Amino acid sequence: MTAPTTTPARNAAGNGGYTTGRRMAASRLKLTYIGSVRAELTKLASIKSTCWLLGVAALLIVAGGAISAWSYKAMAFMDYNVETGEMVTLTTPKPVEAAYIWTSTVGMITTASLVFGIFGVMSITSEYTNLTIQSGFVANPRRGMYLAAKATVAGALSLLASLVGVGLSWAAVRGILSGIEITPLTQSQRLLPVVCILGGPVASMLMTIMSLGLGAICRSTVGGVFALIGLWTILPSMLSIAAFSEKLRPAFQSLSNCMPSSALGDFLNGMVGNAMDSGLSIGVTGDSKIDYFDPTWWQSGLIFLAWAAVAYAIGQLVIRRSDVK
Amino acid sequence: MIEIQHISKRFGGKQVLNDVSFMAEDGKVTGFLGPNGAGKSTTMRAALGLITPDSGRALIDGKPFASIKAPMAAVGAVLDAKSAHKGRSAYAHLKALAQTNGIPASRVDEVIDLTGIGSVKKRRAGAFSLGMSQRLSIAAALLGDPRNLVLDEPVNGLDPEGVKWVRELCRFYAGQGRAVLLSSHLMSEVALTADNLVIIGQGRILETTTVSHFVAEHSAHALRVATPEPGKLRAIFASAPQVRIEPAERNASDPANGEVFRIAGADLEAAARVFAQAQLITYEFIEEHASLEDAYMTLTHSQVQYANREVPGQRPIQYGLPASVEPSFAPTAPAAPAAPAVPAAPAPSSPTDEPTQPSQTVQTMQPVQPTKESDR
Repeated sequence: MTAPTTTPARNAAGNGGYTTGRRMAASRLKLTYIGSVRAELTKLASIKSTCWLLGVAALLIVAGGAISAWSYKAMAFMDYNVETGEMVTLTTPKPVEAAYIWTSTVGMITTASLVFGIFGVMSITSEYTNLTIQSGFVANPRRGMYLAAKATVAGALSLLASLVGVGLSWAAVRGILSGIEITPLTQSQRLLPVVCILGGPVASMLMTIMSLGLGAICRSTVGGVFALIGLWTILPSMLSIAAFSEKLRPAFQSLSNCMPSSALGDFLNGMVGNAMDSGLSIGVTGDSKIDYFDPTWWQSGLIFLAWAAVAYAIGQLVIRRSDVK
Repeated sequence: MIEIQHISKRFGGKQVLNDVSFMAEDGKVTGFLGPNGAGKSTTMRAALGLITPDSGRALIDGKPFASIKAPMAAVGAVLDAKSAHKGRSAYAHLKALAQTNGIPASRVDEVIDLTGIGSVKKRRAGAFSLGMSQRLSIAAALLGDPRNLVLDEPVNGLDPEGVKWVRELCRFYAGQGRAVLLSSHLMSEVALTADNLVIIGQGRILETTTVSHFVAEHSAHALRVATPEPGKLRAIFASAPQVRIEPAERNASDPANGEVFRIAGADLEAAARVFAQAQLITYEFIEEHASLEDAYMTLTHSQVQYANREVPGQRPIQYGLPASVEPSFAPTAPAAPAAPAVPAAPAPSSPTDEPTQPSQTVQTMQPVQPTKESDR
């Protein structure tokens, strides 16, 4: 090699591509949020697990809707004969409430949310597992922007998948319940279609973002998924068991109602206010006082939003401060 | 330019970097050498903001890395060979990186061609060999046509042609006026590539120098002589105070007879003539060179983090030459020996009056030093 020169020769064109000249001058390149979002979309779209997870989640929603509609249809053809004390099959089905159509449509979102959650966890933890996080942070050292772009894309993909699932689920429910009289929604239920069609997918998006936050905190797929399952199922179960204690029941029941899975269920079904509300009416009779916090559907929505925001915020904090060894 | 300023870092209870400071200048290849666990990778990660130092700072062209407008145009880094998602294709990996900084897609194809992985660009990175993964990492580093290159052991897994290519790449970019920081634990490879040397051990900078200075400083050599006439040998150099004669430990390659000495400060050719004039019998007469590897290992031996147990039958490694060895310089003509000429002719032949020619087997025991100057 010849002796090195001291003046940069970046404007030299060619060199077989080893230099790029003005077309890629530093002034033309810039790290941007939009560029980061495009990069995250490229990343997530290029791995099979994205398609699998979102596809399974959407299918679960559709399957749940179809199964729920089928069970309502079966119940519509059955009645209880008070005189004989037996269930009889009707030739003409009973009317089905419109509210049940909507709750059936989104009935499986709470279960599918676990899949959205795993997707959210893996969208960040796989970067640590595969050491992609190093090249990611070298290309984009602004970690806040990095995680925000990832949350944007992962959330948007979950929203889209859930929207497709809800749409197909609604079509399946309507198809299965066709020929059966549908009673209209009550005044208090008038927002139920909006909650289900939009709220359901938004809730899926928030679930993904919350899980992304958990993944950023744990920085390990096993840790993130375990934290998700712990928060979604294990902790609520423990709180429900502890709520049997008369002395601690108000506190634990209130906490249980604020857990993410309860909040999501109440948000989607709270307007209906029937036994589908994850058993919150247990122990509550018409004349009993409710001595614990029992949020309304919109309060449950805000609680779920708060979970997502807090998990994401803590994830941002951890990811900005953690060392990548 | 890459500046490391007084960086210290502790992981748990272990101090991994302790007041590390050096600079990788523009237009130069800076070799960053050290044994395993010395802190090379940690220092590089600190420079790129992957690790937050407890104290000190790192600057790229005078700015912290996170504040640079187009990071990929400022620094291209090779940190780990396997740094792409196993399920993602090489092309998608590079494209995603390029999109963050607004680098056009055409550049992705360019770097793929540069690194020779065009035929496998659509293959999943998980199916790549180590060498292919290393080339992919290098391609990612070159995407932004960066002003600075940070390469952490970039030749791992590469075939000889690839190693030569990386070496030429470093020299090319330094010739373009860019800064190249190249880490390795192989002195021989760095000596062929680098201009400046920074040697680190157990988190501390041991030496900051240039390759040429390091070569000059550690290219000490000595003469190894086996002779049955130790008194005559000492008498030959009695009037040359700059020459030091010390008994040397006998090696397996030394002759069984005679005494073995190491002579420092004497020129080979001058000594050979004097031995001939004095009719000194020698069974062995060679010039020993301290290799760069030996010099480097001598410097870092006490700083080695992970010392292995020696293989059975392996001779214990003697790092470098004894401390008494000094760099050679032209000796003054030694005085004519007054010792009697008593050649110890080998049996069974009878002694003759002809002086026994001293062994003039001039050969270096150690590997020939790399001729870096010719490569420049």
